[in-house]
Amino acid sequence: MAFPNTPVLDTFISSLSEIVRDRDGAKLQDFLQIEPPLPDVYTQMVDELRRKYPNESPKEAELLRRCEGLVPKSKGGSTWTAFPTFMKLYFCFLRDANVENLLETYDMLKVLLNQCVMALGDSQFGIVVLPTVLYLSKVLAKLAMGLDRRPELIAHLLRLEGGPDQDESTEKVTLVEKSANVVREAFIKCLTDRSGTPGVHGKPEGKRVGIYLMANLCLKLLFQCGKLRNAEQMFASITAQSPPLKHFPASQRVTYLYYLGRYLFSNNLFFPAQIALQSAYDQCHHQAINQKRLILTYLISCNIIMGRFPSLQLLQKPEAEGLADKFIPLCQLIARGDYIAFRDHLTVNSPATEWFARKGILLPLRNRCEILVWRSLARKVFIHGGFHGDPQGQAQRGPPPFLYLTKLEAAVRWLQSQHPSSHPLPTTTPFASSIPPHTNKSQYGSQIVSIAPDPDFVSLDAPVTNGSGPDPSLLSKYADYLCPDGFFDATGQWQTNPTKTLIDGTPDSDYSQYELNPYAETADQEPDKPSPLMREIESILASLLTQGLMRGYLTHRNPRFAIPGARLRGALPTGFPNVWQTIYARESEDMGVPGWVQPPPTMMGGTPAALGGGGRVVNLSGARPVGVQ
Amino acid sequence: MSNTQSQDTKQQEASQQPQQQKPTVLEEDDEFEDFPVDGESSARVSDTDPSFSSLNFISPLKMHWPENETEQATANGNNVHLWEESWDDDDAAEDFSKQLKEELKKVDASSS
Repeated sequence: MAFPNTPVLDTFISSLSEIVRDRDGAKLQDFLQIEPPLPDVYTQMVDELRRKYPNESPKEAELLRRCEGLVPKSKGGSTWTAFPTFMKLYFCFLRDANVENLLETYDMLKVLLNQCVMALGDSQFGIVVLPTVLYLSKVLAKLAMGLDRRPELIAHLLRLEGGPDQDESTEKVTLVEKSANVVREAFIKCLTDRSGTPGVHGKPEGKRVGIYLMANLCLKLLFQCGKLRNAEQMFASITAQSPPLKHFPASQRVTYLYYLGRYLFSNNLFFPAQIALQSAYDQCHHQAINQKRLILTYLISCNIIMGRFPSLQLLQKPEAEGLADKFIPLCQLIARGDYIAFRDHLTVNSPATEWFARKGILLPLRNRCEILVWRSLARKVFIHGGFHGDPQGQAQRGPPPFLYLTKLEAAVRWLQSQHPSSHPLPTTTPFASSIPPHTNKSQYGSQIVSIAPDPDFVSLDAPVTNGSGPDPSLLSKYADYLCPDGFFDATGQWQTNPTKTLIDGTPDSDYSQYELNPYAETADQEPDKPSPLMREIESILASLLTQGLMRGYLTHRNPRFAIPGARLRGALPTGFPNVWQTIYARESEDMGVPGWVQPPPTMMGGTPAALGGGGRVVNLSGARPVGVQ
Repeated sequence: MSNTQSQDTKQQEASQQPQQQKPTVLEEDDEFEDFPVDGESSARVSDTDPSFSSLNFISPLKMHWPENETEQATANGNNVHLWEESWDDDDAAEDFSKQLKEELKKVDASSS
């Protein structure tokens, strides 16, 4: 058969048939270019296609027949039918793609990739299109992500497409997520290749060579569209079916460990995330500065959360450029112990916040590091105000070192007075300005967490606080008691009160009962009752003790933090152990990283080590003999 | 059917979006870039050989580097110390500590 009108297409198809015969996937991919600007030969081929096989003409069937000729006929009679359909779609894409309509281009490309993934499913020839699937996936991802960032390019098209039947009630699937779904299909085809040895004992052979390439691309898209939850099944499938990661090329390992680390990080699994990210960093090419910087951003965050700060040496490396400015102030604030300054640094309007938020590390850092700030504060208060044990009493049994929590309470009140603007009093009555901060005795809400009112609700705050302030009728009745001409202060000195302010702050009692009984005094006014602030401090310290970040015990009646058993090592290292070492000791019992397939344990005596446990190794190091408590 | 496009121009253009209306926007530093593929620096067959016959393209499937080019290998040589485990701030002369100490003294004075 001769096609005198289409010399370029003829050459192209005959070359393709050789490529398919030789099963040369890389070459096939190189031939199937789609990204403009296309070389001249492709432009000529497009002209031929438009002339000979115009869109929606009966001639298209002829084009498909020519594509069917590309597939070798197998003896069993089964043929690779998905491939000719794909090739025909490829020619149609070249012929019809219209860069003026990016939405249409996107849809055509997605259909093309879908068909290519179907061709990939063939157990015999599928592997030939693997590089093409990867190439098309990358172009589709690039287009989807580009449109995601520049939605104005297709806004007018989406509006046209929308129409009256657009259903607002169903969740909108973005182009990026749609692309991720197609790429995931390709990933599954790679993972479930039935040839060779499957699973952890297998090697990257057959379509399995594409597992991590497809997974990485899919993860990139899922991160972009914020659908990380959809990645969970991917990691589970990889754990169940993939050959060990170490058998794959370095670029795939590093990229995969980066995404896996970020996934674990966003699930608050900081220890395995740290292992994955550290490994990604270690295995990264030393010249890949940008990649290393991104890995470091999350690796440093993980480590700070677990009490390990980046060294100056690390921050001075070229790939850490810009990171020192972000992380050093944070580390300094954690070590200082000023919890309000720490909060202010990471608050909504802080200039430092935007970068952390964009990287997706703001909330983990804010939520997870504050406990470290409290540890630093408690530690400093202990250093300067605690009982460190009797220095001479080595031989005798003196009391253990301890800290009165009233001192911590005083330190917190002092901090609050140092940051009046970010720690406003709960009441903002005209009288409040004359009340020193430490007289804030609100019984409501947290004494420690003070959140500035949302700008939208500021105006609503005014009537509420007016309501809780003294109403004029109350003042007219009890002015001589609430705002006297003068009073004796805590040291017994007479203080005049010419401006008639509320000397005890806003009255918080219900005065209606005094109408009947002027001497009524509720029982819970007893002076020994711990303040709400003290209760909060106790619970913060209890949390630190539970996490092992402080060691000792709390007494509640006469609130103290006591550090027993400190004779040998000293009060400070005993009561405030090293954070990282504590967390490491606890977490390193399980060094496994979910989603990271390791080579199987070596065989012992010809028997698989993990015979009984269904692939799970049971760690018996902590087991005790029967009958021992 | 000759293709006179230089390799450099081709590289430049190939790195752009399929649709040229939107340059630069894709270069976001939040995105984990693909590692450059060795083969990308060599010309693609379709650029240089209009007869679609020869090929010197290296697939990204094989993108790899030896261990001695990794960060770890270069770092070990310099013995870089990456992490600080002990960061507790014990400098009593530092402002915050000094002020805190003064405040705590006041508490002692008022309670005794």
